[in-house]
Amino acid sequence: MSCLTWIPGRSWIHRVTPEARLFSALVLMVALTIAEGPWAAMGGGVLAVVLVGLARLPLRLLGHVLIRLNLVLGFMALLLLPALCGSSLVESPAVRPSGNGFSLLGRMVWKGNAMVMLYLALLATMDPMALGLAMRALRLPSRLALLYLLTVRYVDLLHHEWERIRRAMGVRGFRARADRRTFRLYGHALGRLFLRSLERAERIVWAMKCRGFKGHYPLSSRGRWTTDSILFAVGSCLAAVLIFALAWIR
Amino acid sequence: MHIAEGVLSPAVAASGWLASAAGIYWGLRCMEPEAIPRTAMMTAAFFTASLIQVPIGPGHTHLVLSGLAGILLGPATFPSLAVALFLQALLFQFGGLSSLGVNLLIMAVPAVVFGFLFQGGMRRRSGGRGRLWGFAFMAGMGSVWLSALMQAGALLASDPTFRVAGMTLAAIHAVSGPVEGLITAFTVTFLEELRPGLAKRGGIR
Amino acid sequence: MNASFLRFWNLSYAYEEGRAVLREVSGRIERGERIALIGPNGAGKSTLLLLLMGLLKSPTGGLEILGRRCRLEQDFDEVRGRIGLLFQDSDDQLFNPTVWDEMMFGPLNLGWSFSRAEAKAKETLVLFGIENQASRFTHRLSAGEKRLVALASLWVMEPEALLLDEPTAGLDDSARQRVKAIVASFPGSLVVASHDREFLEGVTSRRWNLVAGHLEIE
Ligand SMILES: Nc1ncnc2c1ncn2[C@@H]1O[C@H](COP(=O)(O)OP(=O)(O)OP(=O)(O)O)[C@@H](O)[C@H]1O
Ligand SMILES: [Mg+2]
Repeated sequence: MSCLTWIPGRSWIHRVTPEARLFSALVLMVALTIAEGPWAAMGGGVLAVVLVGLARLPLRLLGHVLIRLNLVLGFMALLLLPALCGSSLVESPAVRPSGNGFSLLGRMVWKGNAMVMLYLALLATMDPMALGLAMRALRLPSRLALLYLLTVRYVDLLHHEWERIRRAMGVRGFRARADRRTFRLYGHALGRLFLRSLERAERIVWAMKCRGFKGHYPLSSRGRWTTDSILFAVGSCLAAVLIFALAWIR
Repeated sequence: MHIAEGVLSPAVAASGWLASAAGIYWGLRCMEPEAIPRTAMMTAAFFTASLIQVPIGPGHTHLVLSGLAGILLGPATFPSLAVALFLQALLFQFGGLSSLGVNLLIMAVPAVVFGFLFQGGMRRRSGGRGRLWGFAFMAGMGSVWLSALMQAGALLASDPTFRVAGMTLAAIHAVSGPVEGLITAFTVTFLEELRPGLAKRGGIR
Repeated sequence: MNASFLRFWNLSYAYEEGRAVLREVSGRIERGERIALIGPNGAGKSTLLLLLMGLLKSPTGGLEILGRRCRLEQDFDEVRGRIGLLFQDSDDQLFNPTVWDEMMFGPLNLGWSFSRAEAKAKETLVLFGIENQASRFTHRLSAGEKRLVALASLWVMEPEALLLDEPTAGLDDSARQRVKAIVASFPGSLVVASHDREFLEGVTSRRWNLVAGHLEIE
């Protein structure tokens, strides 16, 4: 089992190069985050739905994700209840709420859903490894991209290590309870996991040195920009500008 | 400990991103080229650890272990947790991309602060096992508590209406503080036993 | 001057205090010599290969590669690019995102031009029969595919010597025959640690037997 799941497919979005999709996701994310107001939110929502349609995301999966997100948001809403009812508990003359609780709630749910659909459609539709290569191609800090790529490369192996350590604990009749003994066992198991990860890292550095590594990481491929992907990136920039424009309508 | 997508106000989310970018840059600058694989493996380990459910009271909690990250990674906690949070947002939709900046600050700043405090405490005197345990416990618990406070602060800064919400969430997270402290302390003493100096020096440097 | 390719004397190693894996082992590898390194599980074959590359450091004895005494990390840095070490665990070796990156890593580190590295990488992929795998992500490969890519990533650097730790582990019959033919055609010095008798007989001509921490040279 891999913890690195993604949504494969043959949709039009899947054919856009990872660089263009990452670029678009970043641009649209910035626009959606910063632009305020009901019209901008509406525009963002429509855009997100269109992208989800273009990516032909499986509805079941989309439903699962959105339900989970809205449960979290619902919990936040529950905590907002006193404010929604205008309870005197939170009303104080010193702080004046920026809007009423309902508009806050509306923004939260609307933007949250739009944003999650956006990156499900654009980013979750590629292998997490391809996403790392796209970071490189877009000239994000190369060390950060490398850190991401190595993490993704080895995360499953470490997960397996953890399963093994855990099973070894289980064999010895271990039952998780909320007591000191349990926490000590968890501590030791985690310690073992960290030691494994450091040993692995040491051997990786050895393997690098054996292939002439002297402190500089070479780049062996460059990003590909096809006409389609350029169009896609330009299109998202236009969409972002549109969302900002909508934010001006009040 | 994650603020979901859409909750933060634009200004707070954007400033969170800017401040985190500075933190990430600092962390990357502090890394030797050879420390990158080490940091990456630790990141993968922290990501794995964050999937673990630990029983607490009647329910479960997911481990954060930011204090441990601060102890073992130092400034590299910023890029490391940035990668881990990004993966969590991408794969499980925990947290989010727009709130990632703030979420990173909430977790990494206390981690780095308590990491330095831990190393400071270890330098002063070569105290025994108890001292090691105590400082690690403090780092584990303290960073989670400080994170809870910062989270409440971020929510409040976003919108004053979040007052009750922020305080409730902070209280909920505060409960897991002692658990985090205990597990951090046991992990650190275990590591020090098998690899003396690893935690005291700050694992990856 | 007619120095051996590699000479080592009195190397010892213990991972844990009091449990020596290797006790004062000595030997030499001449140019073009082909050696089978055999011994039971846990005998210290992998450990010896790591010592020869200077990745583990022996507290005793010494090591000379191409007539040069190697003590410090810098001494080894200069010769490591000329010797290819195949790690027992392919996952240690395949840290790059794609098979293609894996092939380019070594040559670019050695300072080759991009076009030269590219040409050699393509040629090597064809030689190993994995040219259609170039764009695949290494962590999604099967164990046997990883083995082939790991070996190819060393081959592409045109090394003067190969130290192979279980090169045929996990390979199917046709891949094993292909690797055998490729390794047999290798002109440089060769040390193969393996439990695969047939493979060893096909590609090596001498035997080093590692038992109880001692190296018996036949
Ligand atoms: N990282 C390590 N830490 C502690 N002990 C180790 C480590 N690596 C190897 N050992 C021990 O050293 C001994 C020799 O190991 P080594 O891997 O060199 O054996 P090997 O001959 O290659 O065995 P195999 O045929 O199984 O590959 C074994 O007893 C092993 O348990
Ligand atoms: Mg071995």
